[in-house]
Amino acid sequence: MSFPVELIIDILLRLPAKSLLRFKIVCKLWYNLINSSDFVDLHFERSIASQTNFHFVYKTPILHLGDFDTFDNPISLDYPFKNCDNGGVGVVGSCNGLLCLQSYDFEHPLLIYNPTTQTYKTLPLLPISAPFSYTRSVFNFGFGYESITRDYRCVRIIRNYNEETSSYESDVMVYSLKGDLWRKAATPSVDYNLDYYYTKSVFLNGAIHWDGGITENEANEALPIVVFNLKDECFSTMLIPDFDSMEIVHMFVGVLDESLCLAVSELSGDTHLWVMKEYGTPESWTKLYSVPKLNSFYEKVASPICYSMSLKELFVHTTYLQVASIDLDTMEISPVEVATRCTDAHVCVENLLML
Amino acid sequence: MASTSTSTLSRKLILKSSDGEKFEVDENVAMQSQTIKHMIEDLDDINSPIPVSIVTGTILSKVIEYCKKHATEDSDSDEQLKQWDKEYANNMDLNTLYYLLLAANYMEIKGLLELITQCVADMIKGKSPEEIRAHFNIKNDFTPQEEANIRNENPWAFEN
Repeated sequence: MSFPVELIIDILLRLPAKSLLRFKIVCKLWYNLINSSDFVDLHFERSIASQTNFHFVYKTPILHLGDFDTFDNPISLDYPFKNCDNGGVGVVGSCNGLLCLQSYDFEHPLLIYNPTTQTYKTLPLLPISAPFSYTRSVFNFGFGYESITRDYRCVRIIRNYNEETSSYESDVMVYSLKGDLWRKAATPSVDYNLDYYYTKSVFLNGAIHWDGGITENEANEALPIVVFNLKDECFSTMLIPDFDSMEIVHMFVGVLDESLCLAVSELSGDTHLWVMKEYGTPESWTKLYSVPKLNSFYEKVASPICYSMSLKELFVHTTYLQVASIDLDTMEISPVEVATRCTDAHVCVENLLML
Repeated sequence: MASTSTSTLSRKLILKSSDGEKFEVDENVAMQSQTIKHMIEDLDDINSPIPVSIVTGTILSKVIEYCKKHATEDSDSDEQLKQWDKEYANNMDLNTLYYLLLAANYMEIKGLLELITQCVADMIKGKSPEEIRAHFNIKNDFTPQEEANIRNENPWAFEN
């Protein structure tokens, strides 16, 4: 009996990555089929459309892949620097099931990592030159996908504060996975303030987003979100809601249910979760939840991760990058314990790309 | 078409399998198959048997069972129909499913194709590459060295 190849493809598209990675050794036809970029794209799109093949990637402190949404059946992932202190890497951002990782040692290059196939691409080392330096410059990284060229992009922003002019000098570089090279961004400098959390970028709607931070003067003013559009490589800002006279201590940008969101913590300890219902329209900012303060005074809700499948819980990061879940009926918050403290979780859709 | 709606409802067709078995079915049952629908449009004599050349009688009877159920779906809720589909597919071994898949593909019966494809996928999900080769009658065309190299790309995929 011989099978039409369309039927084979239709069957294989319905399988999870683990089966497909195993079935690559069935024969050359299957190997080439499963590795082809068309199949990789179709499998990814099918997983998104059918809401299947989702996992959590999280640090404990080594990166693990676990079931969505229980964190069960953890697989300890293999990646560079995993044996260094604290799991060796921070997660810069996630996009299409891939992660961008930065070693805690900035002199090491960035990595694009695929937890599904446990393959990675080490980016070319990008040297820095005067006036910038590892000790006195501020670094921000970003990760995303440019859909027209169908290419993954990393962004590195370095800034120096110039006391004489009270302004920043900056340098913006973009990496393209297809070209495997770094080049200056079309807009090679940024005039906006970015918060100093270097392992936090949010990809949504073709653009990378960073927290603007909060001014350090007495006004304690929350600054707009900084947006870098991967298509034209221009910076812009996204207005944040009017918080009236609220005393804000933290503000973090994130994504919830395909919408840009903000977690805003008050001095009192309460955190408010806002969602921008219509992307790019500041009038559509809507306050969804208010979460009372946690046990520790300093620990606040930092950014949402995702809703649970039952939609009864919301998984969030706290300011110490711990993962916690909020019961949406009672607004009670409890840390997610996976053998040990669980930090930095990302929802990861299976992507068969071999890096 | 010249026929009136009442006579369309009562019309019978004869399907003939590859091994010569004949099945009399209502036209609306047979019309679930796009292939047969197109064949009927080209036929002058509706009373002569319609050959379903690559499908055996055993498989054709299963196909007709599915089409009969789905031709009268008004009487069942979606839930009931789904449950029926599940039991229908669960009662078959992998070999029958493969032939049914080929039949559904040849006869262009979208719902049956979808059902059986998903069922085959569920059944092979946990199998080893060796079992897959045996089931699909596929010859391993890798050298042992090539096979070992691919195995090493994702060794954890071979663990339980």
